[in-house]
Formats: sequence, C-alpha cells, structure tokens
Amino acid sequence: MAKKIILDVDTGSDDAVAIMAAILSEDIDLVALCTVWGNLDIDHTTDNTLRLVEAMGKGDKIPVYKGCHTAMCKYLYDDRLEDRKNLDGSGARVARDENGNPIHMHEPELDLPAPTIKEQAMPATLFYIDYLRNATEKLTLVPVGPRTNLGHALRIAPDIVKNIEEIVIMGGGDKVGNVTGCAEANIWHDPEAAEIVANCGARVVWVPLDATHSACLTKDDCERFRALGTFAGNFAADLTAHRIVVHNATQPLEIPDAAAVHDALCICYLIDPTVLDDLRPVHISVSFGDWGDGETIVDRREGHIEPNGYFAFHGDRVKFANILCDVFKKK
Amino acid sequence: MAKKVILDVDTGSDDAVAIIEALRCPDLEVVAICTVWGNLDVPYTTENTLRLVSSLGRKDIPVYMGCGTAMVKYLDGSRTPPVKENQPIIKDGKELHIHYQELEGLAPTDKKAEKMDAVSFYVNYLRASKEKVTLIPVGPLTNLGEAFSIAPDIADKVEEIVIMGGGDEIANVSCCAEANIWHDPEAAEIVARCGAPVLWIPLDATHSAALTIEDAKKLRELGTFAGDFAALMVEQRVEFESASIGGDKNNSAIHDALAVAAVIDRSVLTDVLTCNVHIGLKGFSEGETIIDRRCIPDKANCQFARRASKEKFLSMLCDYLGRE
Repeated sequence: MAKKIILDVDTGSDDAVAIMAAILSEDIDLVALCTVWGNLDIDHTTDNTLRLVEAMGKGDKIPVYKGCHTAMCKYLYDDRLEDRKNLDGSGARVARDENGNPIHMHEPELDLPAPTIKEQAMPATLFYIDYLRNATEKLTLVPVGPRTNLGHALRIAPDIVKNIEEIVIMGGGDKVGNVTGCAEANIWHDPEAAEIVANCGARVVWVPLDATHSACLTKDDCERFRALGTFAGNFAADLTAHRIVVHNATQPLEIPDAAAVHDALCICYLIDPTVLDDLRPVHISVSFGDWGDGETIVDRREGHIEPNGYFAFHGDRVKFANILCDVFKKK
Repeated sequence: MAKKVILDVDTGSDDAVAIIEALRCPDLEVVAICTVWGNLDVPYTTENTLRLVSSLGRKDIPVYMGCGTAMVKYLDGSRTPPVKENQPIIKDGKELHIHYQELEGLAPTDKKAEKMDAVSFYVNYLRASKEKVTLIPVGPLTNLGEAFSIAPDIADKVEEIVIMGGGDEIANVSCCAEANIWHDPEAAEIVARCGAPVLWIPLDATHSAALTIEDAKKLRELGTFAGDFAALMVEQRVEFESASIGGDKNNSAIHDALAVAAVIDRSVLTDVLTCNVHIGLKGFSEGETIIDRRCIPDKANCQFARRASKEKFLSMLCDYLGRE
C-alpha cells in the first residue's frame, strides 16, 4: 500500500525534483504539500509549488498549504541577524560565478507557467494539527525546508506525535556544511524549530549533506532523465543541470560536474530505504548561536547514549539515479 | 455595546480574580478563555479555569487549553532554568502557596476544555471575526507568540492587546524581570512587534494598586460568592507574601485583575507612558521590558502603565463582584 506523506517544501530547485518524485511514485500517496520560507521567501516558494503541482496535472488533487514566513525566534536576536544580508528581492541567496555574474541555486521562479490554482486558506501549521489529530492512520512527514511549520505545530499540539509514522528530514550535516563551516541551510535557518522536531518523540530519519553529497547526480544522469522523454524527466534534467553549474562555481563536489539534489533523496528513501547505505541510530542535538548556530551535533561520547534518531552518513548515488529514472519514466 | 474580549490566563490566584471581574462586568463580552502554562502547569491552570467559570454559573464560556511550555527558551539548557515559583513556604507548620495547584473554594466540575487548542482558536476565531477583539493575556505570552507567528494577518482583527507583564522600576523573578515575560521572552517580543496596539500593565502599575486584608474584608462584605472567593484569593496572597518577603508586607498586587480593569475603564490607570519597549532575551536582562530611554528614542510601539488608582480599582471590583 502506498505510504501517506505530507511534504514540506521551500521550492526551490531540489524541492521541485522531490515533489515530482512524490507525485509520480506509486509507493507514495502525497496527501498535501506545505510550503515554508527558506531557499526563497514564502511567496515565491508557495508560487513555485503551485506552478509545479499544476504543471503535473494535480492542481485539483493535491492541496497546498502556505506556511511560515520566518524562523520561530532566530531573528529576534540582534546578534543572529547577519545571515539575512546578501539576499535579493525574492529572498534568494546570491552567489557569483567566476565572471562575477550573480547565480542562484534556486531561481526565484521555476520555468513553468504562472499558476491558476491557489493555496488553501488554512495556514500550514494549523493544517498539520487538524489533519494529524483527526487522522485514522499514521502519516509520514517529509520536511525538506526549514522546520518552522512543524516546530510550531509540535509546540502548540505535542499530542500530534501519536499519528506520525516517521519524520524524514532533509537537513544537517556531520562532516559537511554549506551555509557556514558546520551548518546546513535548512537547520541553520531555524535551529530552534529543528531541535523541537528532532526531540518530538517520533521516529526521525535524518538525510543530511553527508548523504546528499555522496549520492550526487551527474551530467550523465541528466542525459538519462532527458532520454525518458517525459515532462518530469526533462524538468528534472534542467533543474539538475542548473544545479551542477552552481555547484561547480560555489560548492564543487568530490565527483566533478555533479550536484546534490538533496530533497529528492528523502523521497527515494521512502521508495527504497537501502538508498541510504549507512543509516545509523545516533543522538542529534542542534546548536544555537555563535559559530555552531544550526550545527547538527552527533553525540560521540563513549558508552550508551540513547539515540533520538537515525542519521544517514552516506547515500548510494547509482541507486538514487536509478530510482529517479524509474519514477520519472511514468507519463 | 459590550466590548469583546478574550482572556489568556494561567489560573492562578490573581487570574481568578481577573476572570470573575471580566465575567461579572456588563461592559465586557468574554468570547472565550484561553489557558497557558506559567503559575502552574497547563493542566492545572486549565482545570482551575474550568472550575471557576462553572462556579460562576458560566459553563457557556468556552475554555481552550493552550501551550505547555515556552516557545524555545528551555530547548538547550543554556538559559536560566524554570523558576520554582510555586515553592511553598512553611509558616507555623503550614504550607503556604501563592498559587495553589487546586484553587480553594471551587467545586470540581464536569465542564471540559474545548477540543481545539488555544492557538488554533485564536487564528480561526480572529480570521473569521467581523469586528475587532481586545486580547487580555495575563500569563506567559506563548499562545499569542505562536498565533502571530503562524498567522501574522490576525493582528488586523485585534483592537488592542492589554498585557499583564513586565516592569520598569519593579521586578520579581530576576533582578529586572517579571514572571510572565521572563517565562517566555521570545513570545513576548513577538507580541510586542505584532503591529496591533499594545498596552502594558506592568508591576509598576499593579503594585501601586495592591490590596490589603482590609480591602479583602470589603470584598467579603459584598455577600456574594464572587466577593467571598476573591477575598480568599487576596488573603492567601497577602499571607504568602508577608511570609516570604517580610511581615511588614501587608498587601498584595492582584496583577491580572488590574489588566481587566484597565480594559473596562482606562481611567483606573493614572500614569501611562507612550514609549518603545523591547524584551531582553538573554543574560541578566532576560525577560526585562526595556524602555528606550535615549534622548531620541525609537518610535513608540506601545503604552506602558506606571501607576494606577487603588481606590478606583477596589471600587470597580466591589461594584462588579457584588453582582450575582
């Protein structure tokens, strides 16, 4: 039976690949999409999500709930404001290529027609509470942006944990960082919310940068996607190819001409858990403030440390590409 | 026409007096009561609230249970730990509390909290409301901090937020902080910034209108359940405070009830400053309501009451609590 999930996205180029995989996979029943700020501001992530849902022909089937526009509390503190500089008008982080031209890992608008559908009236946090309280079967949550919506929901209604099957998180890193020396963007954007989710009591599976960078996609993979001759294959190829350009300029990976497509790895884990080929029970703490802001700290003390989740230290890139090809060949 | 209000309480001895005052005042329409952690854990503040509205014959008032802890303050152990505020004091072999876990003088009730949580209620109610509503939070501001975070648009539906909390020249739980704000400083800062008009009823105002044992007698002489019960709350508070602070402390501020009084009749406040207030979030200033006192301060974002008329406050209580 297909696994019921709610996907929480800040669409976002890799989010888009994840959304298409979740919609197309027969192993997944995508109940709803919640949007959140992060890669871009909330208006852009919501607009992009609506565009993609409509382009996938699911405009009337998959509701989109608009979520929070900023972190729970991080930006209340004057000394943690620094990271909101260097954003353009869409909330996108601006990097420069070797010629000094601005490049975006996440373009403000996905290259799709403007949506005719609208988001639901209920805010994403209240949707989580309402849906989970009334659910008759357990649900899997897949937050692949900042954890803000869920952090609030778990504060307001901690009892909803009873109806959560598993939370599969894209975020964090053990020996890999991106926005700072030790932090990954999703966690760093809202560290407090991430910590609330990490310790909420549900089964938590972390898909951190260690997994997504090792399970990267290459130009060859883009060609395989394109050869499928489908909308999803073509669009995934475009998005991945763009990410490879930005990766090469700003975050070159060990494998040349490759890109992490982080969020999609979470969906592929739900389709085939063995794609995370080094998943271990550990205790994760999220750090707040100073150099460690947003760091996911793996407790490495000797002796028994009670785990609070599973952390993927590595991903299988061949299997990842194969799963995506298999899913995207569907018309 | 009666003014629509929502109370947000951590009942709590002074919260109880505030609830009675609001329910007995014909000028207020209490739309709902939301509960929150603070003086006691949220199951206790909720049960006390349910018992009180039942005892007042107002089972029709919906009670929504709210948050059980601060938004983020206690996550990583780096902040000051929760105050054991409700630690009893032993006097003459008797255990005294400022907030008894089960308020004395209230019968158990079959009334239950609504199924919906307090934050969902705020968002749903305010979004649907055709008129503006006055909010009176007199506990930690967690529920409203959450509500304004997930649905900032609801600020447009708020007539005013009258907050019991903070202090300028008076503090209680730390060198500079008052308990409600100190319990959840982040939530307080979110509420301070939400965009709706904010009136602070801090310790400066509530202490200036503190009630004595003699005042409690006047409440008891009203000959009503409300008068008797409020008198008991005042007496218990005076007894506790004189035991903990010193024998010459023969009065107690009934903080939360002054916030309700200020909503009913603004003239109970005799000195109100228009100013800019932010909340200290860590270090020694954690939970402090910091007034911008530079020669050219930042733009005012609130009103901050510095004094109140004790006589007016008491006469209002006697008026409303004397009604059946």
